[in-house]
Amino acid sequence: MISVKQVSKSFGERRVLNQITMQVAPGECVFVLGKSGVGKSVLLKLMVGLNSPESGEIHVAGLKVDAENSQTLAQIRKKCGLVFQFPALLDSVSVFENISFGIRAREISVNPSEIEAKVREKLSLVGLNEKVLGKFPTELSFSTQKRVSIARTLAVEPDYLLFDEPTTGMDPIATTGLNHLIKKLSQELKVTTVVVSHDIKSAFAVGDRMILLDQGQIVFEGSAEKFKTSTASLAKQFQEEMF
Amino acid sequence: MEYILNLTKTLGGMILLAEKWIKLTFQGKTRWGFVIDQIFQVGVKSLGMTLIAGMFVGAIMALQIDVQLKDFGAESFLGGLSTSTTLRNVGPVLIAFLLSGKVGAYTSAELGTMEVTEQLNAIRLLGADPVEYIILPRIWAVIISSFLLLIVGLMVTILGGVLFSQFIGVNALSYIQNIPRIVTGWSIVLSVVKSFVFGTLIAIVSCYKGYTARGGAVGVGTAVQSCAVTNLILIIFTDFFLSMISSLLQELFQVGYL
Repeated sequence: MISVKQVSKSFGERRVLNQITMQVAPGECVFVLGKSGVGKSVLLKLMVGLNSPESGEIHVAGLKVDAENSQTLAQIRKKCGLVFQFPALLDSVSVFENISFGIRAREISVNPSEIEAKVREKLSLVGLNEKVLGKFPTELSFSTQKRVSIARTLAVEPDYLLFDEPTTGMDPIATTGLNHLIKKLSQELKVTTVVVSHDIKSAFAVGDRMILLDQGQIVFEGSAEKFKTSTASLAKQFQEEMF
Repeated sequence: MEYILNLTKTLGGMILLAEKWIKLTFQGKTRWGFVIDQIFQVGVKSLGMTLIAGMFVGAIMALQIDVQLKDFGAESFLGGLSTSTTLRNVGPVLIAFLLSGKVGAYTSAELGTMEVTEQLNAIRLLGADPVEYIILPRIWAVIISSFLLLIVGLMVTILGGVLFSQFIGVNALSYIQNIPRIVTGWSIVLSVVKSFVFGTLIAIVSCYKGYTARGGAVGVGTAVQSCAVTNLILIIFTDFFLSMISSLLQELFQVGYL
């Protein structure tokens, strides 16, 4: 379970998250929706200790996220996989090296044939064929890079899968494909999934539950059906966009 | 006040990075295969520039010192004085400036881009330490490359002086014969020490500036600019202190010429 309690975060004078409280149950797929710059990505980074909250606490799998406590942080990160908004692949190494990086770093496997099998399995899970393994990230299209990035995250076998704006920069067909992939991964792998995005169509396609952030606070929390009838001002704007 | 705080923070950060680099090295965490790759990336590709620059530095020194010596009819000292000045000071500093521009800028831009595109955060989340995986081999590669390039560059400066002396009417043989009269073992030691220290400075500053870059393309630009300025200032300061320490040691042990 991911538990966020009374979390606030500011950058300079600007408070992006104000006393946020939310929970994500094991196996659940939660979609955090909001306009750009509302602090959605910050929330994900707080969950894995890449940023620290000013106040409040976050617990992942019962462990308190504390950027100063490197041992606990390492334990939390072992359970989490974050797919960044941009693919964040290592430019200087091949797709194979990128996907196998975490397997080696976390010593999930040290046997080269096992590592190769795992890499091929994850690649197929994200719908890519083995031809890309020897290529470098710069030789791939953006949407393929994104899929490689997801395969790299899946390779470390996380219990918690976090997606930061997964459909940014992708065409409508690739967006639909990626939404199906996220839903499939969430259901087949039974991992706890948090997706943050401003894409309302993806929210309906992917999320079991939706959380709407506005001006640093949660203004809606509930199912997709409930969202359609929400009277929150920002929810109405998103509804107009969708329907 | 803010400037002093920033300066203190930067120096502190660089010292901590250097400490971690030494610690990880002693723990045997350096991936030497990757270091060799990086030496090719940053070192071998800078060789041409170093050779050309070294040749001209030697020629310029020979020309400038010859102008001064002519007034005293002491052209026979040209080889020794020119080589000594180049080895002890001008050579290491000028070549270090060039390398900070090429190797330093390349390294800080590469690391800065990795930071702002979240590649370093991705490494952290995949369970590795970016300092160990990315920075450590780059520090070693930049130190080794810069040191070797400085040594090669200095040898070429001597050659540049010898070749150019022909054009200003000084016999090459007498130029070379005069070198050991003024250039001592101490000059060579000082030159080697400076080369190593400047190489280390370029490595630490470039890696630190790239690693701490923030804020997209503008952040990378700022990091590269700051890297260039910091390298130049630190090279000048360090050169001054090393020269002063060298003079004190020479007086203390009565070795060679100044």
